[in-house]
This record gives sequence, structure tokens and C-alpha cells, in this order.
Amino acid sequence: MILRMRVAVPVLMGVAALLRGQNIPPTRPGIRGLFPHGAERGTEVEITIRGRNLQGASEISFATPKLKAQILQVQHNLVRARVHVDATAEPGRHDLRLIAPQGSTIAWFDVGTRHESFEKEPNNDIAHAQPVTFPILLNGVIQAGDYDYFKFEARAGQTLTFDIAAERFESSLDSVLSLLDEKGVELAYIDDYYWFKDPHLVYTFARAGTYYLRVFGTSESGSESSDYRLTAGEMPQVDYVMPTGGERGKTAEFTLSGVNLKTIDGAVLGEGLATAEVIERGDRTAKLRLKIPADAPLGLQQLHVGNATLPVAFVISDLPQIAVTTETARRKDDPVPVTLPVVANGTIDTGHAGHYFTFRIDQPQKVLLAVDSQRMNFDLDAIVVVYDESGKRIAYQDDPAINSGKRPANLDPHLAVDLKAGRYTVLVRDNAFRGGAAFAYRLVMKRAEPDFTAGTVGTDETLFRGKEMKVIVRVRRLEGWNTPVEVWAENLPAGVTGPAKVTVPPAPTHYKGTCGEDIVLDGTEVEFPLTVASDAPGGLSQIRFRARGVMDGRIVEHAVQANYSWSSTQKIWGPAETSPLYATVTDAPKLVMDVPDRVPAPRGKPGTVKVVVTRLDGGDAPLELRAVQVPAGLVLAPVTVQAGATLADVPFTASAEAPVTIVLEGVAAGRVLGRSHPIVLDTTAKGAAPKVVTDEN
Amino acid sequence: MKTNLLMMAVLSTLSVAGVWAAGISAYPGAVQLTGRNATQVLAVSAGERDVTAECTFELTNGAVAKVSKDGLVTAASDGKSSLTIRWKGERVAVPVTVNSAREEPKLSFVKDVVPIFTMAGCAGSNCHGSIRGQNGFKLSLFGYEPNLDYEAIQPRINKEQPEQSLILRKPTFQVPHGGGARFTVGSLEYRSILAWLKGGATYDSAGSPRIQSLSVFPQERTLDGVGAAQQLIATAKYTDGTTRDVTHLVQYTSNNPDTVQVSADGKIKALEAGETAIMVRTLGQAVAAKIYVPRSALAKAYPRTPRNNYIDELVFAKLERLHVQPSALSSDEHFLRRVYQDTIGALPTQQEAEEFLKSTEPDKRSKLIDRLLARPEFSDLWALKYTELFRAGTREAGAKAARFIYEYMKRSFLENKAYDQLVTELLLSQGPHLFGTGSFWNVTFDSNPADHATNISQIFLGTRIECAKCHNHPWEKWTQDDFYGFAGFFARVAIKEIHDDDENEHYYAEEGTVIHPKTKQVVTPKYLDGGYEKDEQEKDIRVPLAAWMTSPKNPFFSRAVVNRLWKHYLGRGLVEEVDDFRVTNPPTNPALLDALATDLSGHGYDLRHVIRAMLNSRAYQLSAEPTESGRSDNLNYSHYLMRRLMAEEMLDAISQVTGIQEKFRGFPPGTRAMQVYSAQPGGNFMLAAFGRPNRETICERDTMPDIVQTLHLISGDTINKKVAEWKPDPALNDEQQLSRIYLSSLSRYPSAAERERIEGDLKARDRRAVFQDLVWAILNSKEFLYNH
Repeated sequence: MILRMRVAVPVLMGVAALLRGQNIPPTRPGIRGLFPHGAERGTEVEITIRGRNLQGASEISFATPKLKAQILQVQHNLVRARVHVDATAEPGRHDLRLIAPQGSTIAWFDVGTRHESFEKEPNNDIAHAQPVTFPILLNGVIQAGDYDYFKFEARAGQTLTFDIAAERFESSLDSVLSLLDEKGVELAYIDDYYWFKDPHLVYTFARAGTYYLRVFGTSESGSESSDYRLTAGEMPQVDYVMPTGGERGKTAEFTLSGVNLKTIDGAVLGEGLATAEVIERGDRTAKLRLKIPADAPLGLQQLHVGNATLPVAFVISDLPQIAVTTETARRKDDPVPVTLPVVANGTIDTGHAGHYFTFRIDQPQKVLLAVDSQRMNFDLDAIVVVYDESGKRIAYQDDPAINSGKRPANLDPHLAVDLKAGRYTVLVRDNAFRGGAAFAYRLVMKRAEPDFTAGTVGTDETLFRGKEMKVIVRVRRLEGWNTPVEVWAENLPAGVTGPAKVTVPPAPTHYKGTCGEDIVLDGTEVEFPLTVASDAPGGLSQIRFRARGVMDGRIVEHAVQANYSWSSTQKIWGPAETSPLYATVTDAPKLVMDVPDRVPAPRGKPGTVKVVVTRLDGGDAPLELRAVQVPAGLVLAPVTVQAGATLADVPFTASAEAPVTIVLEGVAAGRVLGRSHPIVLDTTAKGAAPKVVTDEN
Repeated sequence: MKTNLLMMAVLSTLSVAGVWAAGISAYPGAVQLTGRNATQVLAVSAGERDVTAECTFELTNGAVAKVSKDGLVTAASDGKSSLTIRWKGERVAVPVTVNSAREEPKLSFVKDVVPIFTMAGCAGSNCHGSIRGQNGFKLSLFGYEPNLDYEAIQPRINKEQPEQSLILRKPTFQVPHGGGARFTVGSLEYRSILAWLKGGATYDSAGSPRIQSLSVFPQERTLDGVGAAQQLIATAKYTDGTTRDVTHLVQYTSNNPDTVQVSADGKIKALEAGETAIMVRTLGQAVAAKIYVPRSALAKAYPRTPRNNYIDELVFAKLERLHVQPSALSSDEHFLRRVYQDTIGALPTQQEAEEFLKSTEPDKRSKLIDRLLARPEFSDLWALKYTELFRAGTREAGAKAARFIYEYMKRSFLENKAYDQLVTELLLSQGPHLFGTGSFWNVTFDSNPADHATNISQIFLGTRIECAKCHNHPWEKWTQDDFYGFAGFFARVAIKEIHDDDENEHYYAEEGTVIHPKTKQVVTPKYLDGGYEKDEQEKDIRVPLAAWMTSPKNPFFSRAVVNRLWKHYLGRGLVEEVDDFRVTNPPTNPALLDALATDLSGHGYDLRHVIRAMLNSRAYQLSAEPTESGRSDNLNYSHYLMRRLMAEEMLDAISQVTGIQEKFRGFPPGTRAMQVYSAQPGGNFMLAAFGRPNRETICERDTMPDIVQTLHLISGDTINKKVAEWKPDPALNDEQQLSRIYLSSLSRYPSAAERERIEGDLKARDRRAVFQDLVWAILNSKEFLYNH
């Protein structure tokens, strides 16, 4: 399994899928928070899952058999479970799938290698700061307006790494981390660490003394679902390994750059694919020798450097690798000569620098010039420029398409260009002329071999009996692929049918941006319709999609990979651990009521429960909303919602000492169409509910 | 060495400005007249006094020219003569040469007709020169585009019967005219236009001379008190190298008509003591004459005021010229509170006040200035001010990006980063909102070259060029070509959306152009008032732009920033508004502005160096109590200009005095108001009420008092809640408590009268209530609310 630790990375796999096509509000489970979000290998932990539509949850499953869960308690908005983590489970993020009759959903569970500890409230100021010693992996929760302070000692010259994992695990916490001196003066702060919004800080202490770490939400945002995992200590931090990848079946030396590297004792590639030997180490750099097995899978892996805060990206390839420096490659009139195919590795380490390569081709051909940087979690926003022998620019690419916050961004150029025989020079630079230690890249230069990837957006969906659902499949064309691709479904559950195939044309999808601007997708999205019979048996099944295309007489076929749903806030994107789409067949609801979990209900004062009503029964009789049972100490009158109306205020007056719970039901023409989840009327509340501050500016 | 050179420059300036020249002089020194009835206005000066009206004029050869009693020389026949001018026993001779006196000059549309449109007010922005014209007739603003004016008047001319042309009948009100009568039938203006019409009403041939520059005499003058007069003489220089007296063909406007009045023919008259600029405009050219009116006759013995540095030399020289006596040095108490607020935006603590007041060190003020400049709060203050100018937080990335750019600015000020380096880094900023200075573009501007050009010039060059985006600038020389040429530097500053809707990345695109809206051509990047820069592949054209902007030779850069600093510390910019430098809005003390700018660039753009000079100057340390002669002075720093504390200063001061911190929504406890970097004031009403800007524009904040502020101080939550929570220290006796309150809030000990009053109250009322009332009263007093 590939560990996807630093970022829910993008797009080279480039595919997505989503079920659409109905106006039914979400009724399948949705997980908003999970605490703690992980556990140490070889331990057992009790977790709390918060969310909506969790009622009836019957199972929690993992892709790996080394993680098991037992459900302890289920409510509509909360599930408690015990998770057992085998001592041999692979560290990193694992898919946790919660299954209920109305659907399934995914969250993430982190397997760690360190002892897990927890924050202890009150720790809201320096006076109440929680003492900690390093290394530490600490789980905490930030409520609205909450501050978590931690107190620690540091030595002069000591370099410590602080890493918050929150949004990476779909926590709702947009966290900020501040480092304070003993007087509370802020020495450093970090909010967003580039691609993901979690903070990550490496700090060298000039003076020995007492310091404080402060964790809080951006603009004091927070909630009971805003959890985080803080990893901190004098641990190795690897910025990059150079070259950033290796050739299968070869042994090569690699240089690590970072801090605290003098303590590393080795590194493991991927899920134990290979073990690297340390042949030289200092504080800032270290050298490894690594033999990559001939049968290692091609593509992106993670290199786990012993005890490092985060793994570092590493690509396994069949192409020869070279590594260059700015010193050797920065001159256009003296480019680094290369022979295709090759992968050039480098770091644009200073501003306004670029790396130049030159090659010759003897015959006209389509040449691929593709950069990997962003997808490896480096900072370079690369641009590739091609010059002919006269120095004239003949082609360039910044991004493969126009990016937008509405889709996962892809900043890595993928330029397939037709070249005549001759000599060419290629430049790679940052598109904003930036540079720095984290601006590493891989530039693949080779004859193009057209190919594509295909995927669905989303991993789980609910299929309603008697409805047609549409799965969105995205195809991304690579290396100059320019013919249609056919997509079909396999293993459809009984009672579910679809077309024999859907053809994906070789033209990118256009869509509108926030301001109505035209955006071009890096790929093509098509809808794959699924028709569900009204008598289709219920239950969970796995639908497999496949895609096939022909170009230049060559047939290419791939499995369609299920991808995490794209969240523009949390940047989660990429292949799920399992490739099928998990589909639950069930009845469509006749009525969906969106109601709050809790309503302030000061005693003796009139209040209302606001209900968003979605009727799906097709009837036009008025809908009566009423309490299934009116508890003592509550006056609640039914209200009538006319057909077509979507909002209703259910008035009540509560006099009970303790909070009371009600369930609303909707009745039309004497038939109960549906019920809400339990609603707590909080008679202990004073006035309005406290306002939760969110990061909305 | 640099200091010595600076002082030499200062002394040189003084010697020119202060010397009473013996005898009389005439302007121009020689008269050259070409064409029939050509004229030249003369001005005769005795020192700085215009004595033209008191002179007699005599030509050695009366056949060549005629001269009127008020010195107007008119050509008569070709030849040479000499004009002798006599005044009270003094005399001066002016050679006169007349050419082509019998030739009716062929009138030029550009040189002779278009200036009349400007002089008569027709081409003004409130008349036919407005962007939409007036009643269907549009002229270019101040004759900037005579070719368009020529086309515009075609329907209004009658070549068969020139006198019937609307272009003559309207301004002479022979037919109804919304603009009224602009000149009379038979006037010089009328005759000139008529002659041009009779001559065929043609447009100037290609290559005909165009006006190149305009000058005015005198450029600067101190009038001899109220009632004194001065003739202005305007001279145009043309592209063929010729010059011409256009005194009667230009438009004059007084920037301060209550002080100095100007007539249509360029005669000015002093109405009251003060100073002003007289704007002189024609054909898109504008110049200004600086006119000073001293309070009274020159004092025989102007008191010598001690000088601490070059700033004082230049400030006091100006005051002496205006016969205004500067105030006395401020007291230690006033200086202490003032310099704390101005430098770090905070009050001195009781202990800091006590230590300073009891110190007898002769250089204790300069030592204090050094300590304050090293305080981190200094950086907080300037980071906030610049974050405001950058409109941080109002744009897409919101509070996150606002904090990032705030922290960058704060760090830069803490490091005392050279200002040229700082601006260079900002100009070259790029990347996503939390990278380097990437948020500079992200939080600051709409991402298009025109907005970048507008804002960069306003913030860093003190120059507003935005008007030229739509039309040639009405008050300045900037044209649309200038505007779009400057915008061309930002053609490749691009934006891409890489995260969700509120977080973008600015980058330098491989390609990008700016299209001139009028010519529809791709513009070549052009420096303001400078040459062109070629945009090439693999070149970040912002690099040479930054080099040009931050060059010591750049006439705008250093002046703009020292003017901002000066305004902050001295209360009024040498140029007001601080971002509105233009020829027609000249500095009140040009020599001082130049000296400050030279000092900054000569010391590695070290802002603290210049600030230190300002704070150490006696001018800064003068009392806010004006002298009799300085009472009406608000321009020349004869006394410290009191200012209401900034909203953040005031709130922090209230919190500091009461010891009760304010909590700002979204900010950790302990955050001072001065550290609230976001566009929103942290949910604080007082900050909004007292003029904390919403950052919708990049203008300076409004510090004008209003009734909402007064009511909030008296009955709002801020003071009342804190005072209610505050209590006197039981460990202190009444005397100690009293001193603590006064020192911590007003940086002084209570006066005897105040002491006596409080002691009386303490005998009659509850101790806590008395002291709470006292704190409330102080926090509501002008002495507390103002820096003085």
C-alpha cells in the first residue's frame, strides 16, 4: 500500500467519479469527525465518530486485515467503536469505511509508531499550559475560541519539528501553530503549510529555556469535530531526496536534505519494498544506498526515513536518472546534455534560476516533457519551455489545463510536443521565478507513449430503488493520447443496469469558475448512468468500472480507480485503497427533514425548530409536521407545510428542568412519510446559542 | 561626509532665499518680438517686490516698439531698441528686438487658438473638457489633444462668414451659452480666433511646432505682506526652439484664493498671510508658482532659534521667511508622551515616565528616541500602517493572507530592512498566498495590470495616475500613454486559482500584454517620466522596474516615503495628501523634502535613520502651544500639530491605563489593538468608530472626530466597563495612587490644583469611587485623547 501522508495528492492518476443526478438530500452516512484519529501499532483504542445519518451503522471495515473494529454504540450523530491495530500494521493513513443500511462512507485512520498521548484541559493559557516532553504524538480537540498551550524545554541550538495533522485526516480544524518564548512573545507561527492547510514548523532554538507551543483554529474557529494530531520532537525532517527517484533493479546512492539527519539509521521504501543503508550522515544531509528490486511497482512511493516526522516522495521508474544542480544547469548557453529517455532531477534552489537541458533527436517524434513536483509535495510550480537550435521558443507549458479551486489543481506540466529532427534545449523553472530547498522536481524527457487514466470521483454511493443515478468518470489523457476512451461497468448488483459502454471523447471538459470564467478541466468527465430496479435487492456491493481505448493500433485498457471525493477545503484527492465503487442499494426516502441536533430552549420562552423539508413522495397533500411523542414539560403544536414549501418553523415552549428530546415526523394524507433524527431542546441554555466562529472572511 | 554635503546644500539654499538683492531687475532680461502686434509683459522687481507699477519706461527707439505705462511692450517695426526702466533712482536696461513686424502672423490652431479654450475655461474638466463634454460639444482636457479639438469645432465654424461662427458667438454670448460670456467681441481672444478663421481655419501642418514646456515667472516669491501684488509671466517653449509670451493665453488658478487672488491676466494680490500655489495651465501643460505672504513687515531682529540638525535649519528658515516665530521647546512631560505614542503607538508606563522625568542627562531625549526605535512595538505600528495601505485582508485570501503580509512587514521593520530592498521584495513577490511575500499581490489588488500600476504608483511613488487610465490627467502631465506604459510592467503578473476560491497564486507568466485602449496596440513598458523597457522572454521585467523605482535618482520614491514619515511624526505631510505628488500640488518646503529624501537614499534607505533625525529635530520637539505669530500656521511646523490618537493607540492606551486587556475576536488573548492585522477590527466597535479603515481604498485613514466617538467615550462600553472593573491599588497611599494614575495616563504628575481637588473628594467620598471617577475623567479628556 502506498502511504499518502503529506497531501491528498493530485492528479497524475487524474480520474474521478461521482454519483449525481438526483435531487435527494444526502441520506447516507457522513463523517464529520473522528477522535482519536489514529493509534499506535499493536494497541487498541476506543474511537468516537461524529457525523450525520449514522443511525443503524452496523460495521466498520478496513482494507487491510491488520486493522479491525468493533462498534460499541450508535446514535444518529455518533458512533463509538474499538479499533485493534496489529503490531505489524503499516504506518500511515488507512481507509476506514463505516457501513449502514442507508449507505457507506469513508474516513481516515492513522497508524502510528509512537506512543499516543492526549491534551488535558484546561490548557487555554500560559498559566495552564500542559507540560510535554519530546518526542510526542498528542491528540487534541480545538473548540471554538479554544487555545491549547503546551510547555516544554529546549536546548540552545536544538532543532525541533512540530507537525499538526488535522485537515489531512478531514478534521474540520484549520489549525494554526505558534511558538512562544517564556514571556509569551511569539517567536514563530505557521498557518498553512502550502498544499494542505495543516501547519508544519521546523525551529532551531537560539537559547536554552522554557517555551510554549500554542495550537488554535484560524480566526478562533473550532468545534467538537476539530481534532488534531501533534507530532513534535527532535526528529529527522527530510525536505527531499536527490535524485527524487530510482531505476528498478539498480543500486544507487541518494542524498537526503533536511534537519536532524545525524540520527537516522536507515530508511524503508514503501511497504517494505526495500531498505536503504546509511553510508554518510550529518545534521543537514545524509547519503543512502538503496537497491530497488527489479519487480518493484512503478510510480510514486514514500521513503520512510527512520523516525522522521514525514515520509518523503520517491518515484520508481525504468528510466535512467540524472541529478543536476543550479550551478551546473543554470545557463541557457551551456545546458546539460542528455540523451533520451532520461529523468532529470534537481532543485531550483534560488530565485530567478532555471535548469537547462539539451538533447538531440534524429527523427521526427512526439516527445514528452513532464515535470513531477507538486504531486511529490514539493513547492515548485514548474513551467517547461522548449527552444530550438536557434534559441527560439517553440513551445511551453505551465499547467496542463486551467486550474480552479473547484477541482483538484494540477500544477505539474505535462507537455507532449511534436519535434523535428534536431537539437533542442529545455528549460524548467518556477513559474513565479521562486526558488528554495523545497523546489525539487523530476523532469521526464522521453519519446511519448500515449496513454490515459480513468477514475470515479468518490468511493461510496447510495443507489435508490426506482431511480436513475449517474456516476461521473473522468479520463485524463497522457503523453498525447487523442482518441476516444470507452468506459463500462462490471459486477453491477442485481437489479442495477447500465449501458454497455459510455464513450469519452478526446476533448477536455469545460466548466465555469467562481466568477463565471471559463475553466478547462485537465481531462474529460462523462456521466455513466445506472438504473436501479424498484425491486432491486438491498445491500452493499462493489461496482468495478473499466476503460479501454485504441490509438495507433495499440489497445490500452485500465481499471477505473475510485478516488476520494474532492473537497476544496481539505484538498483530499487521490486513489482510495480499494478501486471499486462501494454502492448500497436501498429505498429512496419519501421525506427528508434537515433539522438541528440541538436547539436552545430557555424555559418558558417560545422557541422554534427550523426544518428544511424535501418531499420526494410526489404527493401534493399538505404535510403536517408533529412530534412523534411530546414529552412532559413541552408544548409543541403541529405545523402544516403546503406542497412546494421547503422551510418550516415548528413552535414550542419548554418548561422542563432538564433538556428534552423530540423526534419530528411528517404526515401527508394520513401517511407517515418520514421522521427526523432526535432533536434535543436544551432548556438549560440561556438566550441564543453560542456563535461558532468560523474562518469566513 | 554625507552630512557635511547635506549641510552645504542647506546653507546654499538659505543664502539664495534670504538675501535682499540690491537694485532692480527686469523679467525677461531681453525682449524678442516676432510678428505684427506681438507683445511681451514685463515684470520689474526690487528684491522680491514687484515694482512694475512704480516704474517709468523709456525706449531708445520708439519706432521699433511701444511700451505702456504698466510695461507691456508691443512690436511696431523691425529693428532694435533698448528699454530703460527707472525706479527710485535705480535703473535697468532691457534690449528689445522686433522681427517681421509688418507681417500678419499666420495664426496656428495649436499655438494660438487652443490655448484660448484653456484660458477661457472652455477646456476645463467642468466644462467642455469633461470626459463627456458639455451639451454635445467636447474638447480635450486643457487642449491635450488639439487634433481632436480641431475635429470637434468643425461644425461650429463658418468659413464664409467667420464672425457668424458659433465658436465666436457662443463664448461672446451673442447667442445663448450655458457657460455664459467667456470673452468679449473685439478682445484679444476674439481677434485671434477670428484671424485664424479668416486665414482659412486650417490645422497646423505636420511638423508644426508644438508646445514643449511652460514656465512661469516667478516660480517662487515672498510677497511684501497683505495687499502686495505681483505680475506673473508665462512663457511657452515650442518644439522648434522658439519661445513666446503666453501670459494672456494661459489659465490661472489659485490653490488658496482666500490668501492670494489671481486675475485672468496673471496679476496676483495678497489678501492675507499664508501661502499658496498659483496653477498656470495651457495645452496640457501645467506649472505652479509658489507664493508666500508673510504675516507682517520683516522683523529687524528675528529671534535665533537653536537648531538640532538640518531639518531645523530648513524649517526655521521657512518660518523666518514668513515672519513666524516657532514655539518654545516642549516640556519633558509633553515630549515623553508624544514620542512614545508617535514612535511605538503606546504610552510610557509609570516607571518609564518617572525615570525619564527625573533624569538630568542632557541627551536624555535622544537616548530615549534610540530606545524607542529599537522597541518591537515600532515595527507593529509601521506594519499596521503598511498593511492598511496594502488593503490586506480585503481580498480573496482574507485574514490568513493579511496576517502573512503583516508578519512580513513587521519582520522587515524589526530587521530594519532597507526600504529599497523591502519594496523590491514586494514588487518581485510571487507565489501562493502564504509563500514569501506572495500575499502582497493576493491581498492587495485586483489582479490586472491597470490596478497594479495605479496602486504601486500611489503607495510607493506618491503619485496618483489613475485618472490617466481613462483620459489624460487633468492636473498633471500624465497621459494615457504614460499610464498604460507603466501598466505594461505588470502585464505578466498573473493569477491562478490553485486551492479553493479564496486562495490564489500570483506568478510571472511566460506571456502577457497590455493593450492601449485608444490605439489598440500592445504597449511597451514605460517608466513614469522615463524611458521604455523591452519585455523579453526569460526576463522578469519587474526586476528593472524595481531598480528604477528604488534608484536614488528616482524623483518620486524617496520623497514619497519621507513625506509619509514626516506626516506621521510632524502631523502634516510636506505634500498633502501624502500620495498626491504633482507639479500643481507642490511641497510646502521643497528644500526640506529634498533634504530628507537625500538623507534617506544617502543612508542606505534606512528608515530609522531618517525617523531618528525627525524625532531629534527641534521642530518635532516644539511645544504644541503656538506663538502669537504661529497661531494661524498649520503648514510650516512652527508648533507641534496636535493629533487625535489613532483608534488602535487610543484603545491600547485605555487598556494600558486600566490594566484591563481588550479581547479581539479571532486573535489570541493579549493581542494589542495595534496588532490586529485583519481588515475587520476583531469585532471591536471602538476601532471602527474611531476611523480604523475598512481598507476599501488605499487612502490614509480619517482621524476626524465625530459625535459617535464622543458618545462612545462618554457612555459606551469601552471606557465604562474597564473603569468599572478597575480598582485602586490598596498597597498605595492616596498620593502614590494619584501619581500612578497621572503618570501612567498623562505622563506627568498631578498639578497642585488637581491634587487639591482630589484630596478634597477623597475626604468626602469612597476612595474607589473617587479614583474611578478620576480615571474616567482623564480617559475622556483631550489631554489623554490627543497627542500634544
